[in-house]
Amino acid sequence: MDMKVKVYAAPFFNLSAMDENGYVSLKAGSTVNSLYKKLKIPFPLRPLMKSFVNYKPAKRNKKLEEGDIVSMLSIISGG
Amino acid sequence: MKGYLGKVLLVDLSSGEITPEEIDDKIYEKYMSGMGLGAYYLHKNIPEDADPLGPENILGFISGLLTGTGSLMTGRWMVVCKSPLTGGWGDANCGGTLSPFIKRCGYDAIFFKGISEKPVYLYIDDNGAELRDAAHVWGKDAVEAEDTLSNECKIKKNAVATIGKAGEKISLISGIVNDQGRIAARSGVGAVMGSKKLKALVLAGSKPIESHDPAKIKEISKEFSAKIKDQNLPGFMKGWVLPIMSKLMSMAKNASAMDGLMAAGIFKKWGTVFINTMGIPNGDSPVKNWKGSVKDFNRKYYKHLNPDLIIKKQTKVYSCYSCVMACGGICDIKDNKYGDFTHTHKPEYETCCSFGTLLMNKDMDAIYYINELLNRAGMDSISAGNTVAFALECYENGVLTQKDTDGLDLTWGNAEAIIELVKLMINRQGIGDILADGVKKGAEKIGEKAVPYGMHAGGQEPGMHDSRLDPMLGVHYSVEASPGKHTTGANLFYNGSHLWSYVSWAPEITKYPRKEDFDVSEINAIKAMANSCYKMIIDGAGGCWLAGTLGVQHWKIFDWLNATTGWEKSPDEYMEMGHRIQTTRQMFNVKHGIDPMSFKIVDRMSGKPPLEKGPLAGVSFDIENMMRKYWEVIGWDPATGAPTDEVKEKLELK
Repeated sequence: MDMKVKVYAAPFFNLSAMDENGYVSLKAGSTVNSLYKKLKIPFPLRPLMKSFVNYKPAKRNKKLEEGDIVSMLSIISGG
Repeated sequence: MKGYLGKVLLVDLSSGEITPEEIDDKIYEKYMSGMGLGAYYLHKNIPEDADPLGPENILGFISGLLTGTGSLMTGRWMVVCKSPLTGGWGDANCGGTLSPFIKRCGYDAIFFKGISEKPVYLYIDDNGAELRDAAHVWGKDAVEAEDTLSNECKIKKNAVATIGKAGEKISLISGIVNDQGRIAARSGVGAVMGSKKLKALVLAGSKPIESHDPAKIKEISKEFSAKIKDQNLPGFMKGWVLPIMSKLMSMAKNASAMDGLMAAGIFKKWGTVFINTMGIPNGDSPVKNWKGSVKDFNRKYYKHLNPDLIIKKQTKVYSCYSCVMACGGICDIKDNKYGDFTHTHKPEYETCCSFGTLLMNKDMDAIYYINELLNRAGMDSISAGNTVAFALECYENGVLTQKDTDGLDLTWGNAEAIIELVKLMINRQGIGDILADGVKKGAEKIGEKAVPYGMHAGGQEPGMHDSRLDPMLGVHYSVEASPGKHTTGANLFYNGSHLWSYVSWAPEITKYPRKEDFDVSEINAIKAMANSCYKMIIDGAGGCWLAGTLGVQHWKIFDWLNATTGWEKSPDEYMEMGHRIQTTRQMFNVKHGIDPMSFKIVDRMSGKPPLEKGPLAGVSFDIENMMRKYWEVIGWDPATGAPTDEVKEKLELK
């Protein structure tokens, strides 16, 4: 059964897997790493990525659940 | 009282009278404190024909509603006045440690009117307030004056705000300094203080600041603090990664909602200087007075501005009052080739760009040195850098010659000449006297041929973020009552703000084609209106704009406000307060004869003509109609920019 997670990521990631509401569909039991694959984050970069699930630090093998919020690197300017 | 004291102090510098004034609770419920209280007070009390440098102008120092309550990143102080730079509403704000001292003295704000016959400073402690002779510090730079006045104060815990030489000499791009060189820089607030012969404020009060629900405030603060603590960059994140990320950003076809908190690690590691190199490949940083690009200021140049090199010089990291992110730092510059300062505040990105990228200058030693010169003089580095860029382009085109420049060879990137020019501006000598009032006034004095080289909006020089990359920046540069500022909003900011999760009318962002940012559309205007109203709340609370960029789901300003005041207002109701403050500032401008369309950014900044090279090549946008659409959406007449009777009635401003 599929589940949906909300993804917040900088626009330079491949966002084609994201629907109009900002959700990405994954198979039940998927991990953060599965999400990386779905977003086509290059393999060598994955160990370097830092993600948060529901605003808490998460490892790549963290299992995701329906409705989870996954945040990745964001760029906000200012000065 | 709940977060506010309900009292302001009015100091008449002409008569020497010092009078406390009660402010009704209803005013706070309509305008909050900070920016809102300032807008209310100045709109009511400054007559329409007041000379900004005359006795009728009022200069206000105001603390934020949340300052001192235990909330986090809410310790900024506001300065408000009629701006001598634009002729309309003026404001500036600053971090550091002054803001809570305003409240500890028993007041939410201190307002000054009149002009003193001789230099004075205001001293306040728990026993009262008095004006004291400032002859011994008049002429001293801001750091020396602060040291002298602070050491003279018998109460050890004190805070000082002072002007330096630029404010004393009524430079229209001068600001007000606290904490050894941190400056409320914009709108020419330093010139207003100088015109009043007011050298400084020394605040040494220790009165308590009370809140409605301190336990709730603590709970929200604890949660936010833990989130910031978790945000640390992985080891591979060095300065060299930043231009690559920038390049990738420029190639992205879509924009998306982001979690702004994820940028906290970047601010913790570098402070704002990460943009030094990240802003160049994608076009965020204006190059060569807004006419160049990364093709001109390429890697051979920008590698010298690498933030890793800057934090290597950092000997101390510091934070403003109540901040948990700590983006500030002190840099050791004992080995600087241009002078004998021992240290300086870590220059902000705005300073690095305005005296680096904008001038084709790759000499970081010069930037550190200028940073310290300007901090001590109390001169705005954004306006000063833009003004030097203006002079360099005038020189390039023969509008200024060495005969005019006191022999200075003002070629792009000539660091030694740039430093000398800054010194002339601070001391108002020679060409520096003409340039000490910014680009618009400078062009008026130099002549018609200089006008195309002055970058500004309504007379105020723009922040170092290119509106051709993010046109919503251009809208805010143009529609705000104090124009040209980069700290109100942009698409990038809105997309990280998550306002839509709290405010019923704020459009939700998921992902959308980036090209839509350039549309004259209602949705873009509503997003910009949301930025403006939210910014007024931040400034009413004494909040840090960078905290706002982390997202309102993390930095829970609405919850802190309710816990502080007990008002139990909804985010929509707070945004209405923001709308009221924003509209009051616009009413101030209309009352003082400002034509809102005259605040439109100059043509080059909206891509007229477009750049021929670089990531922004070919970009232009319809700024005039974007402004009109914003006015229409916010309830101001789309033809004139004046608030309509309907919106005044709705906001109880009639």
